[in-house]
Amino acid sequence: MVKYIIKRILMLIPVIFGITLFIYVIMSLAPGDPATLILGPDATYEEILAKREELGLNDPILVRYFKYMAGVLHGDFGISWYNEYDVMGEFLNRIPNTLLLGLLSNAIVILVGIPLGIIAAVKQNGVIDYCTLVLAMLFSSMPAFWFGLMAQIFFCLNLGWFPATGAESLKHFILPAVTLASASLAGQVRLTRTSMLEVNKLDYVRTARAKGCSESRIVIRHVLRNGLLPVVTSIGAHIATIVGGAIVTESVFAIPGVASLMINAVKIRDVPVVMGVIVVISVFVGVVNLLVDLLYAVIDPRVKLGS
Amino acid sequence: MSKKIKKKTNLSNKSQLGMIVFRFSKNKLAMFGLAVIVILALLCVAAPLYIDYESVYQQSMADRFILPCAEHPLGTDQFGRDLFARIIYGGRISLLAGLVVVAMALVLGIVLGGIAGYYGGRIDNVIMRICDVFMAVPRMLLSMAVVAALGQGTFKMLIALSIAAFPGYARTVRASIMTLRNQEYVEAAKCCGTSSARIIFKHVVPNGLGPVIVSATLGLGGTILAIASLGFLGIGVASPTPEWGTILSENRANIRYYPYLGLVPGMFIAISVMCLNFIGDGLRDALDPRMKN
Repeated sequence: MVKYIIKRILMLIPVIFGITLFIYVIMSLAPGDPATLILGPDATYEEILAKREELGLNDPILVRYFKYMAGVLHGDFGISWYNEYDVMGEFLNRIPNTLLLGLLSNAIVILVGIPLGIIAAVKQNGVIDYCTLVLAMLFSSMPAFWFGLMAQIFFCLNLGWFPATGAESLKHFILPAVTLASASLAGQVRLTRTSMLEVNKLDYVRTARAKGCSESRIVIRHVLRNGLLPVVTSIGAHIATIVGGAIVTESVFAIPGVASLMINAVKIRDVPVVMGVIVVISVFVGVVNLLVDLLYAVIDPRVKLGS
Repeated sequence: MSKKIKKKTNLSNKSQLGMIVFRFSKNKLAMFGLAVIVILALLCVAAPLYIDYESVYQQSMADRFILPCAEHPLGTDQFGRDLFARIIYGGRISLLAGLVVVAMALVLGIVLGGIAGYYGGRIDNVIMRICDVFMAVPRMLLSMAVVAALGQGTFKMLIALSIAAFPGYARTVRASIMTLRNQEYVEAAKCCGTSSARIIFKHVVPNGLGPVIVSATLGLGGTILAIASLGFLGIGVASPTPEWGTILSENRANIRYYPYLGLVPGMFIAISVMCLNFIGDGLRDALDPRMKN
């Protein structure tokens, strides 16, 4: 077990090196000198040269890359090219909002999605089953930002139930969390349903029925226990979707999280900020996936880790 | 009874492709999706025939915020531009950009996945580890980072999205090639002295294309969504060029008083993505009826 965990964590290292190297290389191939871009059209030649020296742009690309990675390994992600704030510090300032949004929407996906999926499976081809099917198709095709905008108009402006933008209280997070959850929620319901129906076909469930077990006991004690296994793994898969969706959702609801940091950095090509966000989020997603796999092995003893 | 038997014999006479087309045509949802997408694509392709290109950009402050009427079927925006014209011309960009991204990612994925699956061993290992690196980063973040590195611009964004999408295709191609590479016809081709490249791309890849086509169709919907999201965030297709996400972001400030400005572009995105998903699901069931639940 410990060996497996260490192996998985070590596997994150080539991912980090690969992705940062890739971004560094294409950045150096792209036209336009960052120093000139930062200083604007009024800068003199001397100023540009000084800025290039300051940013270390005169070094060969590989030297710059290894200097950067040496910093990253010490937890130093450099400073922003434009506003000169510490990348890691700014990231840590903003991550609580993003984490809260992610946790809330994941909670919605799990707490609403799994029960709905179970009901859809138990009452197969019933009203709820068809409703979830239609909603699943709708929500997975809808752009999250559109859903967010429409929800904002309806619930905030017309009904006045929630504040439209900001991140001051928990109430500010309800609508964004629902928006972010909508796409994954639909998939979760369908997945739970399929998995439950799959287990329902097995011999031991028939045996339970044959010996006269009550239907609720069959569902809760027999089907649910095995049927929820694939559902646990799917939670890991949602994390990547939620990170991507959080960027758009935060932008719609003007939540000062990691997303607005990233969007502004992309617009002005503030490379240290972009790199920092990518590295930290990738590690985070990797660790969450590892935890989900470990959880899977704990609840299902048949799963052997590392094979 | 005799009718039924007749139908069955007809089916067994059909070719593999004929069977797939037959099964697909029996799927109502998929046929509906196909019809909607074909109509939408025709409307977009034929746009210059019935919409003056001028009306996409022409600003006219006297005609601001006209509600949908006979002259402007979907109304006008805050610059008095006809929303219908912008949406149809935007569809040309959204749909074409989606196709370009999927095509670029497919080519890269088929080449890398084909080589990895056919040779196996060390080459496979190297290619798959590269794919793992790209798959470890959430797609949206990866494409944003590539846009930041390359600089903004429509074509650069398309490159960024294909870089984020190709590992998925490479994996699908590799998996289906690995089941095919030990088939007898591959051995026969080898005995004839056919070159490896010819075996991979002429014999093995075409036979393993089924799952790839399905994931490409489903991927097209996701790509259109991603393009719209980047457009909405202001790092995709730049305004005033019409693109569905960009149109939404332009009108964002006015949605409060003129909801149609937000409803319509979003509906076009949602409907086309949903229909592409119907087609993808229909193709999957048609190609492999055993998969259907």
